[in-house]
Amino acid sequence: MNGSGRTGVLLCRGGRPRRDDPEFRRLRWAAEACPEVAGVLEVTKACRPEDLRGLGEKLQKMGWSGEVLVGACPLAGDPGPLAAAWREVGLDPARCRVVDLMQRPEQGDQPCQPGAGSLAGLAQALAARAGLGLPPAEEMVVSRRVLVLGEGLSALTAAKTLAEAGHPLLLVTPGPRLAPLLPLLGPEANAEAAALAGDLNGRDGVEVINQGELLALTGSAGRFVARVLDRQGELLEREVGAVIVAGMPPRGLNLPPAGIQANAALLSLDELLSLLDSPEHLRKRLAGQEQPRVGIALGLARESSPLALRAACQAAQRLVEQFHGVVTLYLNNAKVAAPDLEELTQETRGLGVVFMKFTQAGPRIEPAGGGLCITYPEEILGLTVEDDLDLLAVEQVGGSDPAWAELAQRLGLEASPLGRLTPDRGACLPSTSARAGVWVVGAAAAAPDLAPALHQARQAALAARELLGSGRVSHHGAKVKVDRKLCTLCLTCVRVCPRGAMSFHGRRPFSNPLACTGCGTCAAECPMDAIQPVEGDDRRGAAEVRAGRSAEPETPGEALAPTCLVLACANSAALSLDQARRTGGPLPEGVRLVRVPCAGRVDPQLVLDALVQGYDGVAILDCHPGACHSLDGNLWAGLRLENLRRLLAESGLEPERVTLRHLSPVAAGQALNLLREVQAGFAALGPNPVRMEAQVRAMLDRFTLRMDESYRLI
Amino acid sequence: MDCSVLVIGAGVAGISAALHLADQGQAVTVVERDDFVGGHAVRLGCKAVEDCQRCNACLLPDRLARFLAHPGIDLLTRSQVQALDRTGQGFQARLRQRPAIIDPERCDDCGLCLRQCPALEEGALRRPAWADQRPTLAVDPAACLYFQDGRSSLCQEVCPTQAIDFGRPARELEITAQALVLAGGFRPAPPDEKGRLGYGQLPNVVTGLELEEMLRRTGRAVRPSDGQEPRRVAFVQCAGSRQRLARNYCSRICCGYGLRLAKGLSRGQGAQATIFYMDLQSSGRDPDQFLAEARQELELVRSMPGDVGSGSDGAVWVEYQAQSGQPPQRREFDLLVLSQGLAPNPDNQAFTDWLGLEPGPHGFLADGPGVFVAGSAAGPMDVAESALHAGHAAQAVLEYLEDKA
Repeated sequence: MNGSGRTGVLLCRGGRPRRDDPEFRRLRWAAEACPEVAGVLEVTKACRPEDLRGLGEKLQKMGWSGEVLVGACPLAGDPGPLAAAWREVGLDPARCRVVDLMQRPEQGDQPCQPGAGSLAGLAQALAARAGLGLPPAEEMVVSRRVLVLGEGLSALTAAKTLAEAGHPLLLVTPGPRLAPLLPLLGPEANAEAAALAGDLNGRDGVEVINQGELLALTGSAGRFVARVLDRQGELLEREVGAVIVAGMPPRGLNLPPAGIQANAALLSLDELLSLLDSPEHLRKRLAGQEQPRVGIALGLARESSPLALRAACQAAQRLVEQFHGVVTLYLNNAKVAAPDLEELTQETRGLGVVFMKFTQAGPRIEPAGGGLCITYPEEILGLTVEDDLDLLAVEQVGGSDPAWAELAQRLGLEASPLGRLTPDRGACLPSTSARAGVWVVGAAAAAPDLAPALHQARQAALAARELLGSGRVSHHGAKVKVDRKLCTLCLTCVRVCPRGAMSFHGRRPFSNPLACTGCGTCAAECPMDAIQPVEGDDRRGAAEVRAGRSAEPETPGEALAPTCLVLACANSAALSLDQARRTGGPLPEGVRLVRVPCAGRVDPQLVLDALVQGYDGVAILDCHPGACHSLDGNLWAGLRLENLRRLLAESGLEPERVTLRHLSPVAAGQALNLLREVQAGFAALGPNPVRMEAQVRAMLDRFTLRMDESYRLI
Repeated sequence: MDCSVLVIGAGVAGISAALHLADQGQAVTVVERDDFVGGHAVRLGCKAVEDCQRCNACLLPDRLARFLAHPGIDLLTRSQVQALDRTGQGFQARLRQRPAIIDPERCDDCGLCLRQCPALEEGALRRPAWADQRPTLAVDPAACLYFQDGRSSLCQEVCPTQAIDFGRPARELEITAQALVLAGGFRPAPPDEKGRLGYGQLPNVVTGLELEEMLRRTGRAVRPSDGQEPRRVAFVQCAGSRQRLARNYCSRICCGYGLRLAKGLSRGQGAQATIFYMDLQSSGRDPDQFLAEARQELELVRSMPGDVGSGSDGAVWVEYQAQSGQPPQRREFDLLVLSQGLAPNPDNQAFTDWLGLEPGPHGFLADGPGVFVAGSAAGPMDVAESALHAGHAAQAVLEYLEDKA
């Protein structure tokens, strides 16, 4: 079994049913994080025989074959009572060592003090105190340089934040300069952007590539290599540790596809805002009208935004005040979702600007005379209204074009039709991209307004700081191990990794510990089974599944061995089940619950194995589509399940014996019912026909295990 | 007690800010008034039916788990700030911590007290929405009979581990900190101040938050009056928001949660859902698809109900004018949900006074020197935005501390 010879930690609560003091919590936390520790168990009193009953089996089940360290023991100085108790329940006291891990070290480091830093450091100090001889946590040297793509206020805010924290920067702008004027944001934001640009241009450690083109981003979090073509066509290659994408998706007029042709009276809201700053041009455009009739249209084809509504209101107010305009705002919904907008719209209405809400059908816009005629069914009045306009300004909205899609691809991301670069997942922040170490902020992360975009930018800068630290990041090694003898370099793992953590350097596989979430999708997909998660490899999984079945009752009257295997995603279903167990009673009888790091980890082999072991059915509980914490683990689980069911049908077993159900982490109320439902489904299928065969097999297995043991002794 | 950053409030924003700061090596103390952490966000339920609706309610669990176990975070629940002062070095806070009537160290979660409590219905014993906190039960003095007239102390008598003790004293604490994060969140806005929507009068008129909690607990929405699943459900948007006199702002989150709840009810329970609204706000990362689906699956009525009353068989009738100039219509629904908005926390005034802060918009809070506001204490925002805003605030705290050093 995996982890043979590893130490287990038994925490003694000193007679208390619970210990909730932070110190004890931290101790448990650090012990669990210690890679040398196979597992952590709590007992009420480690020297009370009744508390130790069943400990032997538990230890075995958890794979503790080395010594057991009894920590947090108030009797650490006197191992007598403990040894006696252990002997009484048939455990070998020689395997147990008592260390009071709660004791403060005499001097020097104070790892349990708040603020002592990282988990890795704490675990290391703990291991040192327990004399575990732990090899120091591994360190990864990363580049502290951050690539910021973009030129607007979000990009500059992120860049400034990082520069202040001492990170070297590579700023690549699509346009000729930083902080180009964007009328939509208003004068204040533009001035702020200009100030930031002034501060960053020429600053030490900040390299600005104007009109640069990102050709490729290779590598993974902490160690990307960015290849950028500059304006002169020269290729630059820089190591970067993280990337913040703050570019703006290409924008176009928000008009229906069959909208009107270009027309002298039609312009974008941005153009109108620019014209307002040069009154002469605007007067000319309005052909000297005394009371020009101007329309501003929002949300004609696509949903508008608070940002556009604010700009429209400000433009309307200036048109009324400075040009005596008769202004109408056409909109489907007033997007007032910002603290200032309700008041701003009221103020704008107060100046005589008319707000007209059209129905979903939208208005028709046609040329009429020198201007335009807009015809629309007004929703509240229930009338069809026709307005003649001298000028109609239409907002611009973000979308995607081939160049934007290409950029996304080079970043290892995907562009949605609206130009968004982040996957839409309920369990992830909007700025979380599909590639670890890359954050997307602002319009490309669908920020509806300027303030949220800037919050995203600052948060992403902080996340990059957290990732890169001082340039040497300690970690506990790769979460998956690749057996190079088995690996055929098919690159399936690179393809399926949801976070871009897997790469090959020559023939050497590299799973980036800073990027890998340990979801195990690669392990399940690897056709050669060459990849094994460090925590919970295939053999351990099989053992856990088997452990349930081997509890076959020997005497009649005992609880039956479980007939239903539930493989629950540790990020979602398992959490809800935990909650449900605490408040709603135990799991239904006959259910064996095994946690998997992600549904994407479930190997079809494990499911087949379970059926062979005699379970009547196997249920995989994953996140709902679109909620997966590892982005797409549940998709892989679903695909595999389809294949598996076909296989089962071909082999004459009911495909319904394997099922995939969704359970979110915040649905404790549904959890137990769902299990009962699943169990009833399996019960309806009758007992598993493989079970008989399984019993024979189990006997054989027990025999082989014993043989293994004897070999080890020899 | 000393710490470098004092975070006030342990909702999604306070938790996220504390995690960011503690990960950067700051000693963080978090003060929470309630017995349990998680704020409003932890009470939200999953609205997925087949597909995830991206309500972001599931952003919280891993944060909570990390928060409760983080070695750099000290958590003080049941604690309220009594006074806050600026000192030369930073801030000094005086706290009062309510006694732990149920001692977390002794409580074995056996549940005997729950069976004995005569005021359970009234909420005298509470469980957290997120059960992984100790203890998993708390006594609510507002509902507990012992605290009203000493009528019942059954739980104390029945507790086998003597975890329950009504006699424990409260604790006064002083904490000094270099910087403050105000993450006290919001209060649900009164949904029906004018008493026209039947809230509190008709049993089958509930708020969005109440419906969320119902979903979280049981996974189904039912009518409070008879426990039946509603066939016809109506949502009234902007209940308590966008009012010229009281709260002249859009609460930003109600269209998102209201439409998601309605979609969930129509997809999951086959209910017919109607939405009364003024303007639909965008929500999520694909607002176009979000609203297009809503238009397809729900009945959207651009009109606000003028009157609500009790109909036949527990139903609620709603009177509204579909179009101006036409006579009002009356329709019956089994359940009426008021999409209540977000109001500023009434404590905000105290913080403004103690710290001499500039008032924020509409009674929400604004940053000051050494004081940083995170999440919906700064203004209405949803779960994901609060988490992001907390990151922004944490970054500001770090910059402030670095400048000071």
